[in-house]
Amino acid sequence: MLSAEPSGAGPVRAEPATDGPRHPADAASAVDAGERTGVPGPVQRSEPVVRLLRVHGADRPGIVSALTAVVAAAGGSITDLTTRLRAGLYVLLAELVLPADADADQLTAKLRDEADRLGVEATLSHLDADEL
Amino acid sequence: MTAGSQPGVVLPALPPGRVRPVVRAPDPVLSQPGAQVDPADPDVVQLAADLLATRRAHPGCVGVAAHQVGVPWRVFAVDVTDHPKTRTCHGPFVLCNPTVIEASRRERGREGCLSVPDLTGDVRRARRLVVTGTLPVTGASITLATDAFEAVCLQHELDHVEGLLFLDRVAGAHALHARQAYQ
Repeated sequence: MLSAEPSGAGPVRAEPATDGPRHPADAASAVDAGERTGVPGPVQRSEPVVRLLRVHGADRPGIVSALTAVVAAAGGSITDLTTRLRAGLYVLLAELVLPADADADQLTAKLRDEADRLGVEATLSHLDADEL
Repeated sequence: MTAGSQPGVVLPALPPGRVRPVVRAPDPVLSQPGAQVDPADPDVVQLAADLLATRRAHPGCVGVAAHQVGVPWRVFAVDVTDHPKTRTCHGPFVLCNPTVIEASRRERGREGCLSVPDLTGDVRRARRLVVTGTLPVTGASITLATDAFEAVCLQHELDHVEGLLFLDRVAGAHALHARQAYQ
């Protein structure tokens, strides 16, 4: 896999090929650069998409299974999960890793549809990370 | 803006307030976006007085939104006077139809809610805030610049009138905590 320096000002550095996923746009840019120069061009490294799913509402059977099925159908993995049940209020917090080419907007819409069916509130947002 | 107390909001005279019952999640009213109100409407004026009375009736409570007494309107009462985390303080006031003008310096802090009495959560919120809104009775527009705890409290109440709880803002899968009692 080829990677570019973050600033774009430094030299292009060749790295050994890996088995990691490649975003379609990366392949396209590499082809474009190759056509112009005869050598493979810089390729952006694809990063997985990390999101936080928050769900709360009246407890009922099937909340976890229904919403995690939506995440799984989008190719996502749940990397951390907390649930609480207090006085009929059910709360679920899940950290997700989605494929780099996942459509987060589409996943959000599907989660909202499922949440509406379940009668709970659900939001999907970026996971804030404290950079130290 | 310098830290410290500011002149309090001068509220117009309100009728005697009544303590209203507080609704708890998962009551659906807490998830409804609030409706704009006419600050001079007698029902809004009475609600303003009742929100102040309801807040006072709950020791440790620094804010109550209309949604929390079952009314999905864009009105809330706040008073962070004497809270140890308070820097700038505008005293007790009620704001109708509030809007955030500026928000900056986000930091994480733990917060609770009368409507979610058994849980607390770590939430990232701005510590510098400018909010505009109108006062009950007169409908006079005011703009409040505040910081620290009052800024956090205002954002918590602003969320309520948007139909959001702190549960919609907790900062991660391990940012929710059990609480024995809200006192």
